[in-house]
Amino acid sequence: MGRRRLAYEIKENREGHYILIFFEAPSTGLVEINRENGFHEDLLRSMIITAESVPEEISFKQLVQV
Amino acid sequence: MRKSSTDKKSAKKKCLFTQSGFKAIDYKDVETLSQFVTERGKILPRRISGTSTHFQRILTAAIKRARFVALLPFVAKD
Repeated sequence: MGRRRLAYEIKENREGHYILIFFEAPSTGLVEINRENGFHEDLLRSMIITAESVPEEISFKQLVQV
Repeated sequence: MRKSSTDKKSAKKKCLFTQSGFKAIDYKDVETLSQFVTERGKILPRRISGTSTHFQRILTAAIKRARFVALLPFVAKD
């Protein structure tokens, strides 16, 4: 979704690249994903949420470039 | 003498989301979300924003998600 200035610093970073992924996984797999994400130092933060609806065509507003 | 209220949107009493036919509020929609937080980053109460109960709940959740991914500040000091 692009590069954006973070609203607050995360691990001393002021900017970050945002990535959005739609996927389907068994709930047991999510624990594994969360654990795995913790190992990536370049991945500042991750959030897994339930999609209320899956868009047929994935489009998004480009987040403001800095 | 009563103090005159200095509400930002004292004139409007209608829920913006109901009016414009929102079904869901996207946590990535920073432009919309930021209309419902104060300069300090606090969530505006319903009595000021005029948001319906239904959408205030959805909005609150969306703002909190946006905060977590640093799209909105938890606290903003100017």
